[in-house]
Amino acid sequence: MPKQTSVIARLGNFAYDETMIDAKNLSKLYKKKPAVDNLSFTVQPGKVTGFLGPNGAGKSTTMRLMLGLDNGGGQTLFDKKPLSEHTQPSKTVGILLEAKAFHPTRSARNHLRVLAEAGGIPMSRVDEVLETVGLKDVAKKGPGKFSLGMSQRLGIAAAILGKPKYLILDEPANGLDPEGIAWLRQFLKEYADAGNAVFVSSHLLSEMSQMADDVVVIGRGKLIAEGSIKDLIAGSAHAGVFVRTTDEVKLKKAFTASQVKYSATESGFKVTGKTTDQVGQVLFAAKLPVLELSRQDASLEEAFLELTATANEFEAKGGK
Amino acid sequence: MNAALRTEIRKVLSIRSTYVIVGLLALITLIMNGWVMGYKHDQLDNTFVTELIRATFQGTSFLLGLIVLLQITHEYRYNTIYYTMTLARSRTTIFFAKVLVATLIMFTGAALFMALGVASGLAGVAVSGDSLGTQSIAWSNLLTHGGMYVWGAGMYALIIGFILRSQVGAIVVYLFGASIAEQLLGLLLKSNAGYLPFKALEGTLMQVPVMGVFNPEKSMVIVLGWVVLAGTAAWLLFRHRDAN
Repeated sequence: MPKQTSVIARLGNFAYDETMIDAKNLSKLYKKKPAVDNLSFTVQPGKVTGFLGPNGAGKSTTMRLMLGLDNGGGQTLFDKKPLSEHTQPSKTVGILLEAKAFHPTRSARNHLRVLAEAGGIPMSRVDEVLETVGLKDVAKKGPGKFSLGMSQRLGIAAAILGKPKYLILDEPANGLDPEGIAWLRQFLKEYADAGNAVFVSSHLLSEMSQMADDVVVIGRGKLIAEGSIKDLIAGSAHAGVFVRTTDEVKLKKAFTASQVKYSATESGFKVTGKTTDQVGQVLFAAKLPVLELSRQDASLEEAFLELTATANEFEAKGGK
Repeated sequence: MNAALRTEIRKVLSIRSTYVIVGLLALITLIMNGWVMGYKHDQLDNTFVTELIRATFQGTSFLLGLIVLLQITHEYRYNTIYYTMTLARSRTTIFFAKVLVATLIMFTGAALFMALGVASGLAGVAVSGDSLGTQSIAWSNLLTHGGMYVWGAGMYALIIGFILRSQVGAIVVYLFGASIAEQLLGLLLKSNAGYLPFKALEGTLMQVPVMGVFNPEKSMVIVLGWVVLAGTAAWLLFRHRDAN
């Protein structure tokens, strides 16, 4: 795995040759119905890992199971140990599970001071993180009247308070304005680049495609896909080669003769399962002029919808 | 444990409701002890100060207990419980930190309001133009029985909060539900009604025999028994339930 090796080499101070977060066989039943079903995945250091799934797929429940907040099957190891066995959990995991998780009349600064006290974190960190998330001016105010975006920023401040090695964030971009989202994207990338692991769920797929390196996709509590975003998109049926020429009838014959899978679009053809080089050679052999020949990547959204649709179909059949 | 204790104290001291309740208690104490018992006194015998203290315990304990009840139910209402549980290594540590801080709140609050109650009562008497004779105060009895009453009220509040988790539900049960239910049960249990938790709490401060309420010593044992029994149930539930 050259990519992982390069990450480990770049981090230097991390001597891991294995994954940092290892979720094993997570399971949870709600009213005898599986909310999370034997789910296993890993989160690598030095990367932002996106956690995707349709509404009700079990993303939040999975995160709660990972942190030991909910009872269920399986376990999650952080550096080979459950969170409860770490001497200082605040330096191990920073979490944001809900934006409005604060007492409305306890000031933002006091909210963080309470968490710092509980986590054995120096009080000086409180003002540092308030500065980082841009809430220093409202530090003395009760967050009860904060907007959703400001609440998210306070939640992120709480998550990074102990400078943890892992961040687990549930929909942190919700309610953030475009500037806030751009800041969050940059911040999480830099956090991961410093050798930490960031595990983040979001329903904003376009955002996730810019933010995450890897993804874990679940549907109905089960693992659907795990790997790099590039691989996920490349494997999508929506990925292919677009081609346009002068004689469409002749091109169709050439494709059929070469056993090329294609579909007609408004202005040309979309070929799947072949590279631009291979398609170009088919056109050359058929003596057809190339007006346009380009690779078309699928979007994360297309790949995601394709994956989750398959899972739902599978589930429906399985449930009969 | 030290970090958990400091955290719980910081939590209580950093929210508005704590100060609202304390202000309300100070007002009630000044009115009841200073005005009603002091200025408008009926008779001034040698148990006047004892009665002032006992009245303060009875008048303030349940509202002080409300601070304790909010100490746990706020966590669930505002979802800060997930921070609390992930920042500490053990749920048992959190549980006992809350028990210790609840005890601290109840005793500190009771001591402060006892001082305020006595001072305002004496001031009321002085303003009325009367003077107080020599007082006979059985400190040991008064503080033991009163201490158990105050502590019991706090522990009941905490346990109800831990078990119910819902803020509104816990407040209703603590301030009204339990006593109404006990009054109805008392009709069935008659002379054994003193075994009920809130009746037993009432018994710890009882001076004259009342039907269905045991003497203070027996009541104290019953209160302790309920705290241990229900407290164990609350602890087990806290350890094993989902944190929401």
